[in-house]
Amino acid sequence: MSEEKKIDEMVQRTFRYFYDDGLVEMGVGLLFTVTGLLLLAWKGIESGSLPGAALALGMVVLVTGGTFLVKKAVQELKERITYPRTGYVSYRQGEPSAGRLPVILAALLLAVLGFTFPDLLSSMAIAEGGLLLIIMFYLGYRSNVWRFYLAGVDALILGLAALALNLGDILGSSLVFGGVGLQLLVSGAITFVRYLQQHPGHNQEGA
Amino acid sequence: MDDKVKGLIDVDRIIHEPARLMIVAVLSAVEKADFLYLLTATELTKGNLSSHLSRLEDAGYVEIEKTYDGKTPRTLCRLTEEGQAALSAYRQQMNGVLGK
Repeated sequence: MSEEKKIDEMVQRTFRYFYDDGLVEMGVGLLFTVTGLLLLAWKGIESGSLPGAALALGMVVLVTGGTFLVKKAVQELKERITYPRTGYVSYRQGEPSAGRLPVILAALLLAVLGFTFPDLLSSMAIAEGGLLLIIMFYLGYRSNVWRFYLAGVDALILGLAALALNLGDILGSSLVFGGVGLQLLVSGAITFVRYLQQHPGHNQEGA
Repeated sequence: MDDKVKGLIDVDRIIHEPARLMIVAVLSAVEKADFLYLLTATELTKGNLSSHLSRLEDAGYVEIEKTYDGKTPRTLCRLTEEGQAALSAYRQQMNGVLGK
């Protein structure tokens, strides 16, 4: 292997370390699953009613605060579980996946827009499936984690399924976010268990 | 003398050593990494890693900061601007010598 390739591989492995424990995947999966469930609940509630208003507020809280809370929780869990086992890494601003949070926020905002102004986009589910495909492929490319590619393909398939089944925007969005969220939760949990099996105890650095 | 051969002679020996190249490559991707992470990533022994880090620190390529995380000691390593420049120059040199 050339020196250049060795360096690139070490850099990519260092980026991938962020996802090695599955915690980020579980966090994003949880956020998406809750989004899907809120959309599903929205479908059954009369617009303009009190529960409808409460759900709208829930969506706003989820979009603005959920990402922040998940990020904090993942960081806290990494401090307790990952860093004592395999070491601490502090990435530069925007790394290891530059623009991750803005893109996730954009996807969630797109969902909010979709059911607030249903005529804005003809098929929200397809738009969201496409957006998630791009995000997941980007993450997969940056980190060389094949699970992200799989999640991206599933997002698009779910978007197409929603269109084929004529589920409408809200139910279609619920299917895309809920489906991808559940997949990320499961793949993150499996990755987490494997990580713990490979690194059962804390290490002392002993430098 | 052939330019390519001259390029090989002029190559930065500090970075050219495979273990140190791994350390510098890892640190180029992050703001900071601790000793334990470098151990995991490079699979060097503690003694070896310690000695290579000292060499890189002496060359001004790496900054080492000893801190505590609660009661646990944590040794944080960071690539300096000089280290980053040395790695870029090394990559260019090796591309020139070996071709891309």
